[in-house]
Amino acid sequence: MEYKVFCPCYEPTETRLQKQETNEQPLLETIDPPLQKRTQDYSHIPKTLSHKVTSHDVKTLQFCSECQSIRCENCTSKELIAKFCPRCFHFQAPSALVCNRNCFSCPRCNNFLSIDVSTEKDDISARIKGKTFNFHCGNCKWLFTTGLVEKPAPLATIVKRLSVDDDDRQFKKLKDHYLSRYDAMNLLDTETRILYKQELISRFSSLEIASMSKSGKLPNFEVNYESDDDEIEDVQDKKIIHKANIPSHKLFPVCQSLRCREITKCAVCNTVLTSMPEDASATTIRKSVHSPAVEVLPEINVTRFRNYEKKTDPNRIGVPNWALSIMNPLQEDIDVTLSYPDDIRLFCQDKIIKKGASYSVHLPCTSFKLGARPASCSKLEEVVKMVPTVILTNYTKQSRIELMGRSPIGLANVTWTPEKVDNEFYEAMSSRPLDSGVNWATLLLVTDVDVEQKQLDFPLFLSVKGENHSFGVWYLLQIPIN
Amino acid sequence: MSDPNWVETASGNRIHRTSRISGKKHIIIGGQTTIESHCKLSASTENQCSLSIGKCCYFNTGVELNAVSKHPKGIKIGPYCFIDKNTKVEDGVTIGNRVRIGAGCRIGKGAILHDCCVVEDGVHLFNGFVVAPFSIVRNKGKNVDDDDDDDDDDNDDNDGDTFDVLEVEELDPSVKICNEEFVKHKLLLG
Repeated sequence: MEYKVFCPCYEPTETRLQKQETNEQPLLETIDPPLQKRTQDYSHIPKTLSHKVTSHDVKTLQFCSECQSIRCENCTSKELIAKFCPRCFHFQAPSALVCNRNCFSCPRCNNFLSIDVSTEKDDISARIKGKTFNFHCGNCKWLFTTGLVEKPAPLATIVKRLSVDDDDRQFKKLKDHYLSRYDAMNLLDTETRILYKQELISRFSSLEIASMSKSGKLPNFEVNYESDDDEIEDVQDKKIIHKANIPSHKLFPVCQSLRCREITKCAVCNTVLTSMPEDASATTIRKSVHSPAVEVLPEINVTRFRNYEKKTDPNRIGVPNWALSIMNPLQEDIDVTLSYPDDIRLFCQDKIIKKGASYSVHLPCTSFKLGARPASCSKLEEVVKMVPTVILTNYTKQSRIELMGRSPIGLANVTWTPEKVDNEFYEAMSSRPLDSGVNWATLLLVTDVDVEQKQLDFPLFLSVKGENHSFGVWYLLQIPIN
Repeated sequence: MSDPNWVETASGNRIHRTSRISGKKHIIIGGQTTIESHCKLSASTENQCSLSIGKCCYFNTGVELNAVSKHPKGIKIGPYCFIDKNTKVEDGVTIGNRVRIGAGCRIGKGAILHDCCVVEDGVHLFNGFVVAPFSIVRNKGKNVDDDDDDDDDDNDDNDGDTFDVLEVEELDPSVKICNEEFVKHKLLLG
């Protein structure tokens, strides 16, 4: 059985404000009584509850202990802490975009390029004229030579200088042109003239500034196209040519782009949710996730009863054919309250339900306590105690031993018998769970769904109150009916 | 319960009888590792340990690990790795933890795959290639060496060699896959 967790970050803010200012009526009147008692944001059924974007896999969520609520990717902010090269694993400056330690890729096959240097000397004076750098790809045998480099410079700069083509030159001219226009507009305004005084002085001569401020007109900035007709034609031609068809001698080595190392923060209170150790190397992959939602939100499992046989199910309305198990991952005792809307048809994602067809759910027991998860669970004997009886199999020796030690009343309650159809059984189960253990409890779930439906989409609100935790979460359960 | 087609060691390694292992004195397997049918594991007798495999690895049918070319490093494979069908791993390769290599791949000599990488099906990783942690490597297809120089002479010599083109992307490291207790829980449920 799959379930998703609803994150209210997409909830419209207007309705939130309205709720706070004017105590308006609930959006849906068919709300379960326990839900109406809530005075916080949970007092109404969220408008975006049935949207696919708002429901997340619990593994991808974080839990902010300050806000006491879940945080999805949308409601977290990322902060860059370092940049590193994924090839040489050296940390780089945060402003850098490419590796400055001679990490180059082949433009044709993305393989590493090996680089060798040859020094050229003057024949007569034996003085060093410069160096030539040769790039060689071991996979596709692509070769590139920089030619004689007289002034020492980083290899990335040399390659960048060589790779400047007509496109770049044209772009640079246009960029300069618009920058000049922008500055000239600032110059006309007296307030901004004072602010940008230094920049304007460096860009324009004193005569130009004087004439502009006197006349109040922009200078004539025109891109000189006269001598660049050929260049423009080249650029236009190049747009048509696909990159793959560019001859290999016109390609240049590709500098290795850097990767970022980030920490995640809560977008509301700025609490750090995931962090990296300060002395971590670039190859360190483990992030310390301070509070993942998996370790805070109770785990839910909806299963059939033990030894359930489909043949014996008369498929009648109100047959108690499901057991809902809730497991507490926290190391503290918690009070759990369950709520759900009376009409769950609105949340059916499978297909439209026919008129008159039955589609409802009933939970007789909605309030109960769950024990704390044991602090140490390194041994299998300890782990098996945290598995509810209804899903504990007899496939392994450990589970068979545990099953023999479980309470016979609880085991009888979660084992399927045709007598469970009786109303007396419902009444008995309305105040207490079917079965409970160290940190889990199994509840009765009665479904009344039309035979044609393949899946039951059931929104369930779960509020948790403990010593250190107090929160409420919407779960979206997807129960396969047939 | 014991299947006659499988050999199970004391440390829980399961090796299919059709697999061939040569130089077994120079091979270390961590434990709980499964080696499927028709796999070939060959280690050089020159090195102390030319082939070391971590625990809980899985090698599918037809995987070849050739550590016979006297490479000083040999082959090192970390724990929880998965190598799919008919993949060849050459000498000097280092594979980190939790790496998944697809079917029909070839990992070239001296390549380094850091932790939590994914190599998709049919990728031919170049010799000495380094894959950063949390990366996914894809094959973008083959390209033809078509040096279309303006010089018209010697056109006949251009035989159009094909070469693989790779693409390396970053995976999202923030997803917590599963914790130890969760795995144990699942194991108990069979």
